[in-house]
Amino acid sequence: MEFEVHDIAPDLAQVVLSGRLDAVGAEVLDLPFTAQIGHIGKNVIVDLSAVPFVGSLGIRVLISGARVLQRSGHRMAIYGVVPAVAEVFDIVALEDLIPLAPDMAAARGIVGG
Amino acid sequence: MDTAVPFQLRVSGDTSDIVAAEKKLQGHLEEAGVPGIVASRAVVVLEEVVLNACRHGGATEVEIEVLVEDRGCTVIFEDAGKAFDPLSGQFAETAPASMDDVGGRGLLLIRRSATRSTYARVEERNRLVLEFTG
Repeated sequence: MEFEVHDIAPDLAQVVLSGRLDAVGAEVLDLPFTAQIGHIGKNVIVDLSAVPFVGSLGIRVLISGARVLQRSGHRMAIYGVVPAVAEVFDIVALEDLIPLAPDMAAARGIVGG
Repeated sequence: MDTAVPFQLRVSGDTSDIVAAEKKLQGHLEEAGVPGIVASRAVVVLEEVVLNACRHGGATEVEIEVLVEDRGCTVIFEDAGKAFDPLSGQFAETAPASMDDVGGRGLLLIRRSATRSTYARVEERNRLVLEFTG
């Protein structure tokens, strides 16, 4: 599990995740992802197009990131979700907590920037 | 689909053990001809059930038995941890409204992924039976 952060606008960062966000992937991602999100100081859009699997621990990591951002007055949106992952997100009603968008432009529109 | 021999796994709460079990389950279901979308639901639920049993219920391992059937599969989870019914409780039917209620999402995953589900406490063991169909 890997992630990259790109500053794409003064008030917006793009986080690109790649790999399986299974239990091991979530453990690997958890601390660095949450720490970086915590210091980012801007809205974030997360690209999940290269993530073929997300389990329950992975969902927790994403929610933790969104929660950290929310506490600093910023927002997160997720885009590029593959169908298998979209079904999991739908089952757990993730969109109640984190907006989901079909593509990068729509995600930018949601969070602004 | 092959209905002859049950497929069995023993999984600890270690994340690498869980991921290995997920891959074995995925492989077995694919080989048995279970539709991909049905197999994916079973695989995703495995992580949540095992983590609940081992991290919150104090179980050292979860025994898993998989029965492939005409329309999908049934997965039976058993553990000797403390009694816990993931099918009941406040998070079973409705989604948690707050980001602080993260744990409830996993319970939703168990409840909503399965077509049919039953829980029983049998001889000091949790027995969760989940049926997945397309």
